[in-house]
Order: sequence, then structure tokens, then C-alpha cells
Amino acid sequence: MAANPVKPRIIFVAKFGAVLLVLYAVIALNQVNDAVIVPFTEVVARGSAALLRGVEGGVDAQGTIMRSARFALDVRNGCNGVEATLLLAAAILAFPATLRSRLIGLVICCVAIELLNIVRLSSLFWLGEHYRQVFDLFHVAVWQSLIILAAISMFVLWSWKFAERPLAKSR
Amino acid sequence: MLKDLWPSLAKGAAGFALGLALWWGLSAPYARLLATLTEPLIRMVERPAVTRLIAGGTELTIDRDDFPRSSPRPGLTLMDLTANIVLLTTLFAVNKRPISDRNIRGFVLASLALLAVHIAAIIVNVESIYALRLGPWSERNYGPFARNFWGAGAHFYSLIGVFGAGFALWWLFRPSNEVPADSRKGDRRKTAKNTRAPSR
Repeated sequence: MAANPVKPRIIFVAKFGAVLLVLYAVIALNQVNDAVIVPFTEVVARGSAALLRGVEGGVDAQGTIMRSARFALDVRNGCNGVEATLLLAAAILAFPATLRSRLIGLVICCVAIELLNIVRLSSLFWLGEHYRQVFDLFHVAVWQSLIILAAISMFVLWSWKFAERPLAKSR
Repeated sequence: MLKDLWPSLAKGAAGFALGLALWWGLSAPYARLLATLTEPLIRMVERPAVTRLIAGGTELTIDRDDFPRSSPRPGLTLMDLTANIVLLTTLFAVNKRPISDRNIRGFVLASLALLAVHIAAIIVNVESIYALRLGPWSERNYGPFARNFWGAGAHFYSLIGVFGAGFALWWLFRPSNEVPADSRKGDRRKTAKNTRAPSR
């Protein structure tokens, strides 16, 4: 009898949604936001400013704000890469794989996403300085979608090529 | 693996451009459609039924019959809520045969489901505005639980739900041979990579 291809998808999506809600609930707590998310965002802002200084001088970061003489950018939730990381983590955790390959996938993919996010923030800051008229388009549509697409691509690649499937229970 | 990369990137870029054009170009008529479909649903559950959603460009203005005439009306930017159209179009474009009947059928079904997601997102955002942004009126009409519920719902959707929904709908409606992860029949019973099945 042919296996129903819809059922595993529904199970995956249900698990993905549940894990996403739990992860959101964790980062939405004020204590987690103040102790983890904000300091992390400051690191991301500093990293992005450092990358930009390699291209042009005069960019600095104070707290979550990147600034130069001509432009300033406050890095907030939604721009710190955490949303893409949560999406990726929820997909990896919902996918049937061994704990080992999940952990390896989580660490490698999350680091890659955050590095890409640093490139995103640097390029957005540069656009804000030099091409303000297209900043909103790139901020809302282009980079936001690209970073999520990168996260999904990493998940698909991991699930396809690298995820070790768990052994079936012996009968 | 690398030989598949460039065609996939090219299809992804084309899908991304198409999605961006659809999202940007059709934003005004889509806002009117969303207003037309969402308003009756909101009015169905509120007593008295007073909410009116007025589409203007890419924004919805929220009006109520019981608002004072002189007070400003809150608005809702739809572009942020509907940005997952770009994601969904790109993901379907990257599928193996993007213009096959099965892929297009899947894309249409996923888009219809996304329309339902957008309607739900607008309802949550309107309730969130009612619960949190109308000062003493909000406090009079919404308790602490309702204020947290609608506020968190709107924040969840804007932060990760918007893209989570796009990804989930692609996963549900993509043709079954696209990603072998769930089509490797009996894979759970086999070993994978470095593991070995117990011998009998």
C-alpha cells in the first residue's frame, strides 16, 4: 500500500508551529530579552559596524545603534537575525533526525545565519547612507526575505544531505 | 550537489523578482480585497458590529461608528503583513519543475491558504490595536489577558509568524518529489549515514 505523503508533512508543520510558539514565548519574556537578546543585538551591531569600517571609516556602534556622521540605524528585534534563527531552529527540531545531527545542524546553520545578518546590516547601513530612497525596499522586502530564504535553504540542505534519520524502534 | 546550485539560484532569483513584482504591484488591489473579506468577519464577532476597514493604497484605516468624529483613525500597514508572498513565490519557483501543473496547483492552493493567513493576521492586528492603542477605551473594553493575548499574537506574526507561515505552506503544498526528506519511503526503518541497523 502506498504511504500517504500528506501525513508526515502535516506532522512536521504541526511540530514546527508548536516549537516556533515555544521559542517565541521564551524570547518574549522580558528577562530573556534584557539578559540575552539585547546584549546579543549589541554584539551584532558592533560586528556590523566593524565590517563597515573595513569599507569606509567613521562608523561606530553604541549599544544597539550604529551611527556615522550621515546616518544612524537602531538594530531591533526583527533585524538581529534572531527571527531567522528561531525559524531555522524550529524546522530542525521538528524534523525527524538524531539528536547529534540536529545539534550539529543547529550550531553550524545558526552561526551562518548570524554572519549573513552582519552582512545584511552593514549593507543596509551603507544603503541608508548613500541611497536612502531604496532603503525601505531593501529593509522590509529584499533583505528580510533573503535572510529567511537563506535559513530555509540551509534547513532544506541539512534535511536532504546531512540529517541522520533515527533508528526505528525494534519490535 | 554543486551542479544543481546554479539552476536553483537562477530559478530562485526569477521567483524572487516575480514575487517582489506581485507583492509590490498588486498591493493596492490586494489591500481592497483583504478589507472586503476581513471586515464582515470582524463585524460577525463584535457587538455592536461597528468596525469598518477602509483600504487606501497599501494601508488599511480602521474606523468605528462609535469613534468620536474628530479623533484620528488608527491605520495598519499591510506590506509588512503580506511580505511572505515573496517568500512563497520564491520557494515554489525553486521546485524542480516550476511550471508543471502540479507545482502551479500547489502554488495556487498555498496562495489561497496564505490569503486566509493574511485575513487572520489583520483580525489579530485590529484586535491588538483595539486592546492596546486606544488608551482608556482599550482598558475599559479589554482585560489583562485579552490585552496580552492580542498584543502577543500581533507581535508573534510580525516577528516570525509571517515567514513561518510562508515556509509551512510551501512545505505542505509543494509537489511530493521536491525534497526527498519525506519521500524516502521506509527511511525511518533503514539506517542513515553513520548508523547501523541492529542485526537479527
